[in-house]
Amino acid sequence: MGDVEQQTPQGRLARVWRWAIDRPLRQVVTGIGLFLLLLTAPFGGWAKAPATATGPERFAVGKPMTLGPLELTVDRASWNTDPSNTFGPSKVGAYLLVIGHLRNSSNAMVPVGVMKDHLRLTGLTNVLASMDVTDPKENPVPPDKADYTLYNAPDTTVLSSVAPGLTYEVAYVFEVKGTTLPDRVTVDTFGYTWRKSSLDQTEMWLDRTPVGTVTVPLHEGVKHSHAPTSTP
Amino acid sequence: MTAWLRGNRWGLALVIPALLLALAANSLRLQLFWWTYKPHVATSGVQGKPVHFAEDFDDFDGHWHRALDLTVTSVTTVAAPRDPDGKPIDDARTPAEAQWVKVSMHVAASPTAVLFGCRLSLLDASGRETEYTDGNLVDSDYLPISPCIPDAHQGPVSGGPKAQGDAVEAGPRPAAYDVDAYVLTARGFRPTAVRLQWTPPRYVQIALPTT
Amino acid sequence: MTSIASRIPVRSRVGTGILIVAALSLGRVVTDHMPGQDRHERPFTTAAKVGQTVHLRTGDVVVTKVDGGKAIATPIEADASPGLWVAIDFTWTPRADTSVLGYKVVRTTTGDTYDSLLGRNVSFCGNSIPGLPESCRMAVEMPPDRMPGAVVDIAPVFDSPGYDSLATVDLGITDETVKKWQARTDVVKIPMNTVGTGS
Repeated sequence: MGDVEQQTPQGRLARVWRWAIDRPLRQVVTGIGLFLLLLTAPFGGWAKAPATATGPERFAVGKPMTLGPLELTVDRASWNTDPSNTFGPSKVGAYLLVIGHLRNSSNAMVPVGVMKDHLRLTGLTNVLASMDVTDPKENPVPPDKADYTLYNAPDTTVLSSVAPGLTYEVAYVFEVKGTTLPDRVTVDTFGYTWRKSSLDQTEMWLDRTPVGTVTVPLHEGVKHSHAPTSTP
Repeated sequence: MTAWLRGNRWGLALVIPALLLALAANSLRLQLFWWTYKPHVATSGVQGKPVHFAEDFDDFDGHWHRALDLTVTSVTTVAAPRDPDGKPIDDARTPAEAQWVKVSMHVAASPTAVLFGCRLSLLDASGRETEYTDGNLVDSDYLPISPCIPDAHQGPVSGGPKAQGDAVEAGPRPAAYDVDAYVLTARGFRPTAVRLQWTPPRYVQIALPTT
Repeated sequence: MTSIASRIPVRSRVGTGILIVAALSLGRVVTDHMPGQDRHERPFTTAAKVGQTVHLRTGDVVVTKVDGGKAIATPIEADASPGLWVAIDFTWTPRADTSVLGYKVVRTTTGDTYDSLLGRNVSFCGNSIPGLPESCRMAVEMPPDRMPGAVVDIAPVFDSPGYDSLATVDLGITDETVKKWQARTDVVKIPMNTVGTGS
């Protein structure tokens, strides 16, 4: 059908279009390819995906490690059959304490999941599942499955969460069968990323990843004093 | 316009039933997540007359049936609660903003019926509900956990054979008994109904005489 | 028989394509600029001072006292904080049936939140008797330098208070208050919640 060429926008567009489809096939295909590329622009384009984290780093004792909302510094470790009158002597062996400083550098209370899982022992074969689970049928467990009870050291109260901006003197307390322990212990620590959960679109600490590993000397600590303490 | 209507008359006629069907299909969620968890199925009665209440229920031992004849004999405001032996609880330290309401009931039920775990509440004319609890004010040693059973012989805690056996050993609950429940309410709360329930959605509601 | 597609002029097919892409792009721009989840889920907030009663959806609340110190003692536990404790007394009167006061969070001027239900923080409040006031207590530990200007957010629900009513009460903490609390050597005693407004 022959069109009468007019100096109208429609006429010009028709001429441009006819020019385009009259090009050799190779140029038309390239043109379409470029057009499709342009299409991605309003939808985010080809922006770079964020880089993934690298593996765990060796940390010296006394050096702070960033674990998601937490900043942990491991200072020392000790063990004893009866280190505190709050939890009494061990019925199966001894308590192993990893002592340090823990700070919440986020702006909200740290969730339970992060509190429970950011530190793990390695290399020990006689660790119990947790301080409360001493049943021989369930013990000992591989060290990465052993749960600790986190205490605020100065008053031996349990820390199920920590407050934004505060740095606590803490003790990670594990229980072990028997009293045979090496002269040093290595702990692994894990960090988290703050992002939207794909499940319900709320933001939370996800993607537990190894951040650091610390080896600290382990020696027998002091038994708690049996002197009567004043109760509040 | 009329031509279009005529051409599509069957489709139009089916729109309404289709809509209703869609709504009904979605209401499965209402049933699954809401209806069974709130009191919606009432057995009603009035003060002074026995009301028969029966329901099936599940507990950790299995599937059972409970039935009782409940009569609310009186609902009065009292100065202080009494313990199950009838002794006034003097150190209740009732605050000025509160009052005690005594609900006297007569219950007839098979000694094997599981009545433990009943929840008693008082409703007023504006629909406010005050629940009985043993923990509010008085040392919980004084007030019973379940206000609809005699404290000394409570009967079985579940339908299973062990619980039934324990109840027989402890002394079976009488087939008919009187019991008083003391409910702490706000001062000036005027109950218009007594509600007793175990598992939602079923419950029994006794209307009180309006004075 | 020519296909339907070949009977529509190329010009209008391209035009349709361009319009579709334009519509999708516009849609993307609009969605990016819509108010976020936070805004359309925001609670209905009433600001108040200590001593002022706030009418929440399910009852009335009034903060009656604000105290603080390095250590607290409840009937359950004694806690010494590396920071400072702020102990808040308030009265809660449910209006309708069985409702409790679930959300009690101290918030600083920089947006840090201290939830009374988490960690060693204290939350004693459980009454749900309509019309009967209850003396409730809560305490949270926090860094002393974030205390001035802090408020407590109180709402009837347990999770986030979105869509619901919320009382934001200024705790009236100044630098002088913080200094006074830091100098305390005695323990702040926090009794259990009790029915009624008497002691």
